[in-house]
Amino acid sequence: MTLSFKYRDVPRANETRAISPSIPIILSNGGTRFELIALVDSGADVSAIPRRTAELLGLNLAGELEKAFGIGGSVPAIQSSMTVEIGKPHERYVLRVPVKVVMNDQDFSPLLGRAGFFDEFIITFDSRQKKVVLKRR
Amino acid sequence: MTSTAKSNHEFFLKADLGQYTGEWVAICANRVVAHGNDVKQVAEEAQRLCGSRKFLLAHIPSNETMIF
Repeated sequence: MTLSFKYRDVPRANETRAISPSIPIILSNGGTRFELIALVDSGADVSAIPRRTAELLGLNLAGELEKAFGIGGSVPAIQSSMTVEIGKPHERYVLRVPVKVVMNDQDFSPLLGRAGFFDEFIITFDSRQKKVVLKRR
Repeated sequence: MTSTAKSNHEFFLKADLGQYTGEWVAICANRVVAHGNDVKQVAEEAQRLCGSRKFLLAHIPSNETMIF
């Protein structure tokens, strides 16, 4: 069984366009749950969400503030965990994944990184067909 | 996920959301029902407007955003 999600076609600067492997997921913590669009990010060691999204979910932010590094430099972050539900009516999975909560005021789509997520699926990025396919291991 | 959730995603894939760049949007029943910079406020507004119907939250990056 596989889950297939179409890429979203997004405008970029200078009237160019890009395609984005953005998929619907449910993020939950205890009884709080929201459906959000997340970006499947094979370049990220670990999933990441902005502080305000973590606060919306009521995640535990009591951990030690640390630095997380990306292409743009370092950002303050706290290690936490969240529950990710992914699927379609015929197939659904629930995973508990580690997440870096970025503690500055940046806002961005939740990023689904490798730790705890890519471990669980064989993921195919099919740019020509404009879809991302997840097969449960 | 339900067919409602599926249709929210299909709307997200097809809609021109350029007017909301840099913002969060909430999609419910084939339309944007709330938008703004604060995801919590957008979610609360969507909960109020959508009632028992499911809604989908998405952050719309600015056109200049290139994600590495």
